[in-house]
Amino acid sequence: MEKPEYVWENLSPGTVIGERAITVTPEMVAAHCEALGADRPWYRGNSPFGGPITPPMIFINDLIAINDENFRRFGTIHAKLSWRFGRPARVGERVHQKATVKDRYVRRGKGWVVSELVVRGEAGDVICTCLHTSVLSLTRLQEEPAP
Amino acid sequence: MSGGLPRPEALRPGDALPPLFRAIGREDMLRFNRYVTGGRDTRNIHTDDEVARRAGLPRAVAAGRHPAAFIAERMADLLGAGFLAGGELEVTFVKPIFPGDVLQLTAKVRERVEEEGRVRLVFEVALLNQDGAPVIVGTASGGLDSG
Repeated sequence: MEKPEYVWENLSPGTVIGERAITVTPEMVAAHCEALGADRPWYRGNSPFGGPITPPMIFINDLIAINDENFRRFGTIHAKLSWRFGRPARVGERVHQKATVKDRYVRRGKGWVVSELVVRGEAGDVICTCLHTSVLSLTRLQEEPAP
Repeated sequence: MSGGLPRPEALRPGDALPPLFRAIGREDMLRFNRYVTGGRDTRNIHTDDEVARRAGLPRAVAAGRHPAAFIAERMADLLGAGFLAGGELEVTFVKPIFPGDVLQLTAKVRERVEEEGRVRLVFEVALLNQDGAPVIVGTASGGLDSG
């Protein structure tokens, strides 16, 4: 089945963009640290959390990755990012990720979408919550009130 | 990791962290894009001047998520577990970041908040370009008692 387009008109509040479970690997941590120039002994060995943990922004690309797994996306421009860190993920841990649309509105002739990624551990506890506010092209502009 | 950072317990409203300088070169942007794509080189507004110009930009621009992660790492450097478990980061992208820009990360204590038996430090954070213009602004916070 063809994926729907990732456009403002298809992203109403409550839409589940997608969900998946992934295992956090040492390779993921190494790739993140290399890309961002980040380093901390806790990412490779002992930490106050009882073993190697992930950098705080380890899931920085995952909302976009879930978008692309489920929608045809032609690029988005981020305007805001908001993160809440419940606890670091542990290297080797299986985590569940769920991406949803929280809000959308039209402002100054542009379509805005607020999407959320929630990452949970296997026990259901929240590892982190991330909100992306993005500007999307409008193909069929309908003015809706801004929040 | 502290890089001359003060003891967070000693920080009071108005205190500023020493500035941190990070250059973003074209190779850094290509490396981040490979991280996003799982190792592939792709052409988009973050990697290719021509694609960026077609999108109305003067040349390629850095993905905002990339430098936003610098702020999270800086807060983790300062607050340790107090940021990684319970920290928050909220940023707005106000200007594009171009290859060759040298970013200055600033952080100033806005308030100390007593909450549920712990102290949370709230910072005003910003990334300034080499002209002193803010490119990312926001707030970051984390607790003092668990790191």
